Amino acid sequence: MKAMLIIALLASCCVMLTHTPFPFVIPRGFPPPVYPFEKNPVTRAGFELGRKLFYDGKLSIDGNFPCASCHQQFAAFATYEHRLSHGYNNQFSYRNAPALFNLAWQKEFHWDGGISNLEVQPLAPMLDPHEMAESLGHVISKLKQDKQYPALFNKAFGSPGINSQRILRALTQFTVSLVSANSKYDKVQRGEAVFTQYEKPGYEIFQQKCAACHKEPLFTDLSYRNTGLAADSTLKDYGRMRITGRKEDSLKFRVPSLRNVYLTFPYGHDGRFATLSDVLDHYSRGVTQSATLDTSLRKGIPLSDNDKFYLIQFLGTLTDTSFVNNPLFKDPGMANSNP
Amino acid sequence: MRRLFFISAARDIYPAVSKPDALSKTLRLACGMILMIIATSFRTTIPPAPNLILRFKITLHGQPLELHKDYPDPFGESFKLDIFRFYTGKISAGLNGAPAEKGISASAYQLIDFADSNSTSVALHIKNGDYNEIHLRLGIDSADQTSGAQTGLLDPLKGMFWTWNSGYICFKIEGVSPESNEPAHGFAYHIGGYRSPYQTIRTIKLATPPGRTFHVNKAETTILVIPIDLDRFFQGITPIHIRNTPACTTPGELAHKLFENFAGSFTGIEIPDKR
Repeated sequence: MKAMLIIALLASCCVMLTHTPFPFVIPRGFPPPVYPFEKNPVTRAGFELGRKLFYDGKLSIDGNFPCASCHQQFAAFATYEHRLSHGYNNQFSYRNAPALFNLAWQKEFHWDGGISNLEVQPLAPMLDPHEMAESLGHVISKLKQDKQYPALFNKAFGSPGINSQRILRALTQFTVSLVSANSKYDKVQRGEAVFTQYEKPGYEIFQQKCAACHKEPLFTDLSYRNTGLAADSTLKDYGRMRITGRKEDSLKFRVPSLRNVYLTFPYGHDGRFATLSDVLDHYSRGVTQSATLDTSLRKGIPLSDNDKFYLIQFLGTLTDTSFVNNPLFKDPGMANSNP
Repeated sequence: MRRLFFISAARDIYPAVSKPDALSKTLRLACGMILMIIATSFRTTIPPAPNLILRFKITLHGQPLELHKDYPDPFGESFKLDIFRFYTGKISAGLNGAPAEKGISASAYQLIDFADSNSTSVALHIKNGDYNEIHLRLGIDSADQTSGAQTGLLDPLKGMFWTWNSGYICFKIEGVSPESNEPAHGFAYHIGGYRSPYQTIRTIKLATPPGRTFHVNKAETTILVIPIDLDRFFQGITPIHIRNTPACTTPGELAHKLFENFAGSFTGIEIPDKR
């Protein structure tokens, strides 16, 4: 009896060692996350495996397009300076790659909200012939044949075996851990910093004219809205309607978070705006009228040149340098080398 | 652990027993208890042996249809099928509309794939009795549509998951027809969707021929045939001409119409003659 108890205790200790929980800290002022962690608890081993997969070209058909090729840490995991991202065989992606952070608070993903659970999101770029262009079966067999992965999956999930669920859950353990909540704005909220004389009026204008949709603290209300962007004649992208099939959803796209917005240019679902000034000009005088246009934008958003200046100053306080420089989120193959 | 506890408990109940025959009685009692515990622990993990098998078959013009062979559809359009797959589950048996007896099977869903003859039969355990109805559900629960990465028959590896609009294809037909103007004359119906109002989930009730019942008992396995009549699929509530509708690969209104036709192509239960 006693011997068995001791063995059981030792065994559970071993399980605990490989299953060290990875701390997920809810930033002060943030709502509770919506990702169901209980089904896929984040562990250090699972996170590390997910990080390795995220940076590994094996998930793409020719080895050249890891997740990180379109989601670059220095761009807050968006694609830096690209309207559309580049995929397999000299192809463009359909939409501007969204930044990846604070995903634990999102129920739906993509510009049109077509993805209903963070775990299944990687299937979209992996299997899209314009992006990573792979097949799920082929990815599994490549990982099974790899020298390192079988042991890493064993460590992360407590038993041998590589399947689609484990690949997707490991990737999720990495992406759900990408939390950005340490910008100057956050420090001001915590009383650790103060806005400059330019940022402060910018914040006031923001609260008055932008915060209804770009709601604090996530800087998005996660809704879908038509912001008066006429559909591009080649992309023919009608946004949310593609998912719901409802005319009412024509030209509606997810309100993006403005956190790290200095790093995530160009802007808009098709990356049509090169700069923040372009975006603000659109809202003040470029809104295209249509049946589904957001009611708050019927007359555009009146913004003076001064308002725009101050707003842009404020938006700069949303850059989280500790997030984009966090060594935990770097390519594990490069983590110890200087950039 | 539980078993060990019970052994020691048995000892404590009879601490003073010393006669050899009484001791063997105690031992027998303890052994019996262990066996009982083992039996109960197994009962929860292993489903009862199947006593009912449903065999699905595709028919056209009253004859069984085979994949990869040319046929004329009811409108005279030539076609051949290469893929025919669908999800079903929650199968039960009923008698004259009385509350149905739930069938117990190895998994919550079955993926019937006519390219894999092992998958076109479903084995169930049903309470002994006489029945004249089979209830089965087509499609996938909305809860399972959004619950993330799954394994088994719901593994996205099965090719029944939409990657850009999360959700399962509940019914998939692919084939070739000279009538189709799509690339390589292909036609494809990937039918699914769980968002209102175009949900593709339904429980259908199938009946035996009038006056007939089927009997389920422990001693032998009852086999039933469930035909899927493609004439009814093409000539359903919304007639489907391959020339006009060679593709439906997104959830929505058209998918919902095709789903109605699919659900309507289950005509009833055939009871094969016993040899």
